[in-house]
Amino acid sequence: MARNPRFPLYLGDDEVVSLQRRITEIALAALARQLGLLIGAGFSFEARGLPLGSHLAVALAEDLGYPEISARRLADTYGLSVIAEQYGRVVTGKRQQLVDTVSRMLTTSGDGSQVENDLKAIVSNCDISRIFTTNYDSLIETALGDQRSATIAETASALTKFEHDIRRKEFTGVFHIHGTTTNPVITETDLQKPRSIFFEELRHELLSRVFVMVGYSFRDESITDVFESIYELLKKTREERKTFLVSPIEEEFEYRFAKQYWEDRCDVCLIPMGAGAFFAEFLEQLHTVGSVKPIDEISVKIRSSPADVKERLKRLCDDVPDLALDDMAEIARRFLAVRTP
Amino acid sequence: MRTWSPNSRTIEALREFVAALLWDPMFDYVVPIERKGTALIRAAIMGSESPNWGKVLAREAACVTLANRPGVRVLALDDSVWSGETIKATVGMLEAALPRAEVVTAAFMTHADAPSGSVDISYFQGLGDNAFRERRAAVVEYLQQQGSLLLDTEHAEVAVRLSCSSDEFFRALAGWGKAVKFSPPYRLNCTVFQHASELLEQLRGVLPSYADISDAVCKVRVVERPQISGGFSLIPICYPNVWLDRASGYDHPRMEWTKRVTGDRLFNCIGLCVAIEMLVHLMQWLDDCLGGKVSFEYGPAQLRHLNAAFPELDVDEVIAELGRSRESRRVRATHLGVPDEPGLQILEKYAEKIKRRCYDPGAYRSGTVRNLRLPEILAVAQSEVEVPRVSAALDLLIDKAVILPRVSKLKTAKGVMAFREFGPDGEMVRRELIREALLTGRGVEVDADICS
Amino acid sequence: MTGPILGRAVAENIIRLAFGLSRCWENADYRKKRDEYGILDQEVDKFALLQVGVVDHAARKFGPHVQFTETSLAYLPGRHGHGLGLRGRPGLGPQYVCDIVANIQAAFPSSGPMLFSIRDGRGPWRLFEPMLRITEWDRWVTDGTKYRYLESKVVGDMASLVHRFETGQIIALGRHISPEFTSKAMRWLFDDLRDSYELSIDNMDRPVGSWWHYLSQAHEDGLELSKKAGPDRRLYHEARRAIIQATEDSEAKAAVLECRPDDEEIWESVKVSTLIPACKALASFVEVVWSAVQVGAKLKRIPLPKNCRLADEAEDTLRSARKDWEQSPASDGIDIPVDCLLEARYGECRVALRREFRLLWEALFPPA
Repeated sequence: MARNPRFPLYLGDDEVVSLQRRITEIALAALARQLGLLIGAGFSFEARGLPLGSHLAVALAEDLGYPEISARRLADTYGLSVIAEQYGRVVTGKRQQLVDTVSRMLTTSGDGSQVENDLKAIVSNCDISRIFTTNYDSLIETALGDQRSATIAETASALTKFEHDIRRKEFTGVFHIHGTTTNPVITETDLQKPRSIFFEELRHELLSRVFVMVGYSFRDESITDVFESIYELLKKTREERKTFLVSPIEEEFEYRFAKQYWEDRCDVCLIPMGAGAFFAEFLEQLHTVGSVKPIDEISVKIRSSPADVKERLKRLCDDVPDLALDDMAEIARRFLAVRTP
Repeated sequence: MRTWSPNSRTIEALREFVAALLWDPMFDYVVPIERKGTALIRAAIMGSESPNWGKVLAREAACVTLANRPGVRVLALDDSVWSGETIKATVGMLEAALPRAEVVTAAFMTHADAPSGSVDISYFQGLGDNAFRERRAAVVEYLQQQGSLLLDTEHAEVAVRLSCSSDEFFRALAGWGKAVKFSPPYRLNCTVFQHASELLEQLRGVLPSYADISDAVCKVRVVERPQISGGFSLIPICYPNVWLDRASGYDHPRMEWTKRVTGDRLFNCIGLCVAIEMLVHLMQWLDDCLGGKVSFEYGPAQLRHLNAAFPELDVDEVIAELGRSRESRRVRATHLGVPDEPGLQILEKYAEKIKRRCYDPGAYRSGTVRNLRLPEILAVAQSEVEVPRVSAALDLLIDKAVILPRVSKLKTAKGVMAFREFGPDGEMVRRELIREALLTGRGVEVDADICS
Repeated sequence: MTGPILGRAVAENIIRLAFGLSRCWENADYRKKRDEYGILDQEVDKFALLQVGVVDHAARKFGPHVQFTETSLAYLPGRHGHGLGLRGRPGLGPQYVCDIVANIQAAFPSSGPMLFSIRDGRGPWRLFEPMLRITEWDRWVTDGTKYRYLESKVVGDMASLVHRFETGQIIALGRHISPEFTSKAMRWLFDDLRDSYELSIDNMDRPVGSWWHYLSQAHEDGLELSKKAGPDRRLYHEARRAIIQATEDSEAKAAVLECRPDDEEIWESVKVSTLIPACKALASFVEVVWSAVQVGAKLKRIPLPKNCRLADEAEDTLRSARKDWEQSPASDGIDIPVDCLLEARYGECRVALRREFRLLWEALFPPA
C-alpha cells in the first residue's frame, strides 16, 4: 500500500487517514465559503526560502557583530523581538536601519513556486476574501497577483474600502497583523503597543469560520503571541468552533506533546505538515471532495487507505477523460459490490 | 447599466482585470484569443471614456503587421484556459511570425488541468470543474450584458435610430428577409435570414470569382442597444466559401484597402465586404420602407474596431461605402412582412438539436465531437419555414458561448477552400456535450444521420 | 449534469453485460466451443453490442413507462468493427468495455476478480471467464428499480438464445447492426489500412523492426475486411436463422430479429455491396506484401519481431495470396514488386510499393 508522502513517517496509517478526513472537513468548509486562514513565515520559507523569524534574529545579531555561533545562541535564548530591540538601540539610524535590513532580507525575486500556485488555486476555488498573516513580506500578495489581492492598510478608511471592494468583486485582502516590511511590529517596544485593529477581524474569523493556521512552528513567537491575545476567546468558545494548526514537526515525541498541548489548551487540532504539503493535500481534496463516500467504501472493502484508493482511481481516470473521479469511484464501488463475499 | 446578479462579483473582477491589462503600458499590443477574448477587449474599450483600438490586433493581423518589429511586447489574452491548446496555438503562431517579440499570456481563469506555464497572468488559477463552470457562466453573463458575443472585430456594425415604432421597424425587416425575433436576457434580438442565392444579383459586384456563396452564412443580426432610445444595431454576416489557392488578391470595386489584404485573411476580408454590400442593400430597403423614420450612424467610432482584424482597413472608405445607401436612386417598391416570434423555448429546442449534431462517436480522432458546417446545421429544420428559426437558434448558441464560429480550410481535388464552421466553444462545453450525449443514450443511437 | 450519474450508468451497463455472459458461460455447450479459460475479448465486446440492441428494442416494446438502464457508452470505431466503450485520452485508442473492466480489476487486484477472471491469450488477445454466479444473479434481479425483473428476463432470454452459437457467429451478429454501421466500419478499416501501410512504407529504408508493426496492422485490417466481405455474412445468416428457428417465444427473440436485420438488407445494400470489391482487393494486396516480406526475411535470415507466422506458413500464404490477387479484377494494371520483397531489398521496393498501392486506391476510390 502506497504511503502518502506528504505526511510524516512516524504517523500510523489510521492517523494519516484521520488527518486526511480533517483536511476534507476543511475543504468542505472552504467550498462553503467558511474558511479562515492565518499564514506564517513557514509559507514564505518553503516558497522562496525567505528567512523565518529565528533566521532574522540570527542575521540581526550577526549584523550587531556577533559571530554566527554566538548569534544563534542569542537568537535561541532571547528571540527576535529582543534582538530587534537591541538592534534598534545600538545601530545608528536605529529604526530605519532595522526596517531596511528586514526589508532587504524579505525581498523576493524570480518565478513563483508550487506552494504559491497552490495557495492561489485554493483562494481561486474558494473565494477567500481575507487572509491574515504575521509575515512582514508580501509574498502572499505576489502569489495571488496584484489584481486579485492587496495589502490592507491599518486604517479605518482602508478597512471600509476593503469591505466595499469584496462586496463589489471577488478579491482577497491580506491583513498583516504584525505590520509589513515598511513598518514591522518587530521589537519588544512595538509589541507592547496597542494591538493591531486587525485582531478584531481575526477574532471574528476565528469564531465564525473553520480557521486554519499554516506555516508556524511550535516555538514561533508570532503564533504564541497571537494566541496570547485570543486565548481567552479560544477557551470560551472551544466547543463551538473548529481550529487547526498546520505545523511541520519532524520528531514524533514533539508531535505527540504538541498535539496534546494544543488540544488541551484550546481544542486546536494539530496537523503535522509543512505549508507546501498541506496546500497540496488540501487542493487535492478540494478537487475530489465529491467522491469521498464511494472512496471510503472502497477503502474499507479492500482494506486500503482512501488516499491509496484515490491514487488508483486517478490513474484510471487519466485514460478515460469522459469519467470524472467520482464516476470512476462509483464504477469501482459497484463492481466490488456485485459479488457476494 | 450594471444589474446585480449572483455573478456580479466575478463580473466586476473580470471587468477590472481586462481593463488593467488592456491599458497596461507594459504591453505594446494586445492580441485577444478567439471570440470571448475579443468580446472582452471590445467591452472594455467601448466602456472606456475614450475608446482607443490602437493597440489591439487580431491574431492573424498581428502576424502580418508586427512581423518586422523587434522587441515588441505582445499580450495574448483569453477569458479562460483548460486544455491549453488554443493559447498554445496562438503563442506558437505569434512566436513563429514574430521571433523577436516578447509574448506574454493572460487569462481570467485557468482550470486545474491547464498545462503548467501556459498562462503567465491569471486572476483565478487552478479551478476545479465546478468553480470553473461558475466563473465561465459569469463571463458569458457579462458579455451578454455588454451586447452579446457579437462583440468581435470582424463584423461591421451600424447603429439605427428610429422615430417609428419598433414594430414597424421589424415589419420592414421582415419584408426584406425572414426575420425571427427573440428576447434572451438583456436585449431584444432579431435574426434576419437570407438565402444567399436570393442576394446573388446584389452581391455580384463585390464577389470575386473564387468565392462561392451557395452555402454561405447570410444574415443580418439586429440587436437592441438599451442605452440608446429607439436604438438598434445592424450587424451583417456573410461568409462565402473562398478558394484560397486561386485567390491572387481581392480588388473591391471601391475600397482600395482590400488590395493590401493577402493570404488566409482574404476569407474574412471578402466576408466583411460582401456583408457590407448586403447591409447597404438592407439600409436602402429600410429607407425606402420607412422613409425619414429611420436614420443610420456609422462613423469612425462605430467602425474603428475593424482595424484590429484589418489594420489595412481605411475607415473612411468603409464609411463611404456604407454611404452608398444614401445615394440618390429610384425608390423601389417595398413591403412589410410579419416577423416570426417563436419564443425562446422553441428556439432552445432547435439549439439542442444543433448541439446534439456536434456529438459523433464515429469522429473518434477529434474526440467524438466535430464541427458543423452551415448546411448541416440548417438541416435540423424539418421544413423551409423552420430554416430561419434554426439560424436564430444558432445565434442563441453563439451568444451563450456554447458554439464558436471558426474559419477552417479543406484541401480537395479542386483546391484549398476556406469556409465557416461551428463547433463547441471550449473544453468545458465539449465535455458537457459528450457527457450529456452518453447519459441520454446517444452514444449507441443507430441513426443514418449521425453515422454519415 | 454533475455527480457520478455517468459512473453509475456505465457500471450498470457493464454489470448487465457480465450477467448476460455469465448465463451463457453456465451452459456446458457454450463452454465446450470456447477456450477453457474464458471468452475471447472480441466476443465479449460484440456480445455487448448485441445486448445493447436487444435491451433497447425490448424496452421500446414494453412502452415508455418502462425504464431499463440507459446505455451510457458509445459505439466507437475500431479494427474489429465498432465496439462499446468510452473514448481514451488523446493518443490512446478507445477504451472498450473489456479494457475498462480489465483496468479497473487490475487497479484493485487484492479484491479478486470482480466480474471476470482475465487471462492473456496465446497472442494479442485476452480471455474473459465470467465469475458471477446464480446467487449474484438472483440478487441483481431483485435489486434496483422495479423494472429490473423485466430487464433481467430480456438479458437471460438473450443468453438462452445465443449460448448455442460459436464465437464467430456471436461476433458477426454483434458487429453488424445496419448497412450504415457495416459500411462505416469498412471505411474506417480502409483508412486505417492505408495509413498503417503508408507508415510502413515511409519507414522501409530502416530496419524491419521499425516498420513491421505498421505492416502487420495493415495486414490485420485486411483480414478484417475480408471477413466482413465474406465469412461474416454466412456466420450472421446462420446465427439469425437459428434464432428464427428457436422454439422459445420471448421479447428477447423478437428484439434480436428487430435489431439485426436480414443479412440481405446489410450485404446487398448499396452502401455495403459497393464496398465489397474494395474490401477484397485491399485485403489481397496487403496479404501479398505481408507474406512476401516474411518469406524474404526468412530467405535472407533477417529476424522479424515475435508473433509472426512461422516461415513455412508464410510461403503457403504467399502462394495462395498471389493466386487470389492475380485472379482479382483489381490486379489489372497493378504490379506488386514481390521479387524485390523476396530479396529483402525493402528500401528499393518503397517507391514501387507506394506507387502500386496508390494506383489501387485510386482505382477503388476514384476522386469525386
